[in-house]
Amino acid sequence: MRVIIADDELLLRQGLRWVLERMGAEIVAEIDDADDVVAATTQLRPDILITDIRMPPTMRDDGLQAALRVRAQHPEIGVLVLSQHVRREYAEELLAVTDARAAGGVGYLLKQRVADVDEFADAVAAVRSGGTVLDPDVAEIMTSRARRRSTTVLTPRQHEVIALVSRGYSNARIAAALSLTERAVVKHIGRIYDALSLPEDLEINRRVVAVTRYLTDGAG
Amino acid sequence: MKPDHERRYRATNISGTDPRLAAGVIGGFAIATLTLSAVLADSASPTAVLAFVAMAVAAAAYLGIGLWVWIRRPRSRVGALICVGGLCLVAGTFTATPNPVAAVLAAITSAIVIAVDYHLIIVFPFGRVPGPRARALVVLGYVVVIIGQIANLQAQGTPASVVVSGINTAAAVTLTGAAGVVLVRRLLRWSEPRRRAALPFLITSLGATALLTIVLLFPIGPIAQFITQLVLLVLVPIAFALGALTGGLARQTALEDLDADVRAGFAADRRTLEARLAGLLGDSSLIVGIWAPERGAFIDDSGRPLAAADSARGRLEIGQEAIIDYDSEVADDAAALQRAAGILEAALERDRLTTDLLKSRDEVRRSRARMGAAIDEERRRFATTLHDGLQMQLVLLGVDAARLRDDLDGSAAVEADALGRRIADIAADIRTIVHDAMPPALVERGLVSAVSDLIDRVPVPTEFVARLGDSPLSDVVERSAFFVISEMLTNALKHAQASSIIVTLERNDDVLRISVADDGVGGATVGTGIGLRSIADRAETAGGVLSVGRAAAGGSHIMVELPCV
Repeated sequence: MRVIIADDELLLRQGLRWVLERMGAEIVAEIDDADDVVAATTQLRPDILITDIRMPPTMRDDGLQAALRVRAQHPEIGVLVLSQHVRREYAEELLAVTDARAAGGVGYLLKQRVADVDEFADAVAAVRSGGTVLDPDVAEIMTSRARRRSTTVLTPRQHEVIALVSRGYSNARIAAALSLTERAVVKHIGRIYDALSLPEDLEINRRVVAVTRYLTDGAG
Repeated sequence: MKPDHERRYRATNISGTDPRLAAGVIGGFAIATLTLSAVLADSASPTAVLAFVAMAVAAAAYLGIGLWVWIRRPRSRVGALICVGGLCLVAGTFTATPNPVAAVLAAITSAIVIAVDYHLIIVFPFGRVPGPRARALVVLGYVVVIIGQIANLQAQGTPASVVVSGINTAAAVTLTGAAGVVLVRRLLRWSEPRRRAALPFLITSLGATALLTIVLLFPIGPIAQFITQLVLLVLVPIAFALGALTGGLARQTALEDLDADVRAGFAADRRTLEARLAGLLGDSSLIVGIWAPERGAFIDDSGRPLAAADSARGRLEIGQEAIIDYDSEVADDAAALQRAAGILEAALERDRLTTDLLKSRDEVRRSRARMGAAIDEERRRFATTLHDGLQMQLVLLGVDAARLRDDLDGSAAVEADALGRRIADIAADIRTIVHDAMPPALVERGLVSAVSDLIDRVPVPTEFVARLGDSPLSDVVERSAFFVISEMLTNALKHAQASSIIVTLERNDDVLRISVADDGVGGATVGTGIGLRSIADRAETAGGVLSVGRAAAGGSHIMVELPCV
């Protein structure tokens, strides 16, 4: 797996490099300015771009803007955004550029999650394989909003399942987390697809569409 | 500055009861009371009927004069005082009722008019009590008259009545003498022509009050005595009104009224002052010139320099800063001109104080705004320092713990794992601290983004509408607005127990209007609300204002307007 890291802090890039190399990834470039991200990604075609949000040149949301541009131009490249804080608005912007037919997925995590090396490796792998991974903090804000919406028709158990799907969990992990059999999880997910009117389509990643549709009320 | 000044002018104008309103109320009340009294009067007794008619006529005369004085001098209390006398006479008509209790009360009330007459003598002609001794004399007048009348009524028809009436006569003469001394001492300080103008009042009023009891010694019958007394009583306010408001003292009285107005903040602007001085001195060409240092000349109200002095124009200098320019042929009353100069000086002094006050208030406001902005900037720096330093270090520390766990086995690896979790907990705490100090969304995206973030964390359904237009707000305004909204939401949730909230952000040119409406318990006021005080403080620091109303949903509607330039 080839990875580009974009963060203006050298020490953080080094920490990240250690975690990624531990899981067998190859770091093809380290970038410290958001303005260089798109060019480097276009040139090097990594499997995943991992980027910070608050970065030079303006120290506002430059990293996120770069990530969104990369997604628009190269849907095959997975994008994992890391930040010291997670916000619904940014998550929604990232979900809006997910592409259920693309090889690359979208992830949005607190930087602190990097330290939980195994879970972080799972998240990177999920994004690499086209999945959607949202940080539990932001997933919680968005699922509680989704639950309040009258348009959603999911059962409480289905809410629990889709919330874990949105965090990038595999069926096996969801089964373990909710003390269910994997078969039961598959059944629940099937019913969630029905409830969200997702037709069977081998071309698309229905998990991605389900998460986007469930969390953002519509656009999927 | 100008509208502010006008607002203040209106705000101070609260003591002047509209004389026309007073006339309506008092007149209506008097007519109603007289009608009632006429119905109750003992119509079988010709004496009673005559007493009623005489008293009613005296009351009407008294009230008429009182209202006329009130209209002429709306901010002096003399008109009201004379009206009180008139109403005492109105009450006095109940002496004609057969009910003994009502008749006694009416007799006592009507006697108060005598004290009003003494009061008028002491305050002639400007309506002011000249000092504590005179004030004591006024109070004594009321006390003596009321007690004297009670004693009189008690003694009626008994041998003691002679003694009582003797004492009453002595008291009346003494009071008249004392009031006369106060008045004469005042007149002695005046110029000769003014003294002469006051003489008719002096003679009429002192003569009338002195005769009031002496008339009882004349054998002309009780009815004639009673009517003579009423005439004498009414003579005093008539003499007062004619003496103070017409003839030689009219101008002086008007000048004193103007002086009092200026000191109380009325007639504050130059144009009004100039017009009133011109009217008082009978010189329509009178101009108030104010020294303009940058022009090196005295300028008039429209900014034109005054023409050079010539023989036909007189000039009075008020220090270095102002002059009264007048026609020396027309305005020839030197004393009145001196008084006018004194009034102008008081007006200028007041103006200067007001300007100084406004200036220092503005300075306080500005320094408060600077402090508020500095505090917010400090919060931003604090949050950035934590973000760039501590938060990053904690990530690295977490990675180090993971690395340690990889290198260790058994219980040591478990401990390294626990260490990693504790680091993650601390990182979560720091995230909260950074968020509270200065929300990352505010730094990265600005106000609207930060507010929607805030609303995400509100546990009740909250609608957010933002209409901010295209021109960006400054960081200072955005931060103030954010923390105001944060306080407003906290207040709605904590004190109002809202179950739904609407937040609106709207920009109209230079004003950012923030409104939070809830469906909670309502009844919030700035004075009593616990949370509202801190919102108001926040708003005022940023130069804004807080207002509180009722929301359509039944709760409170709290609005803050912040200047955004």
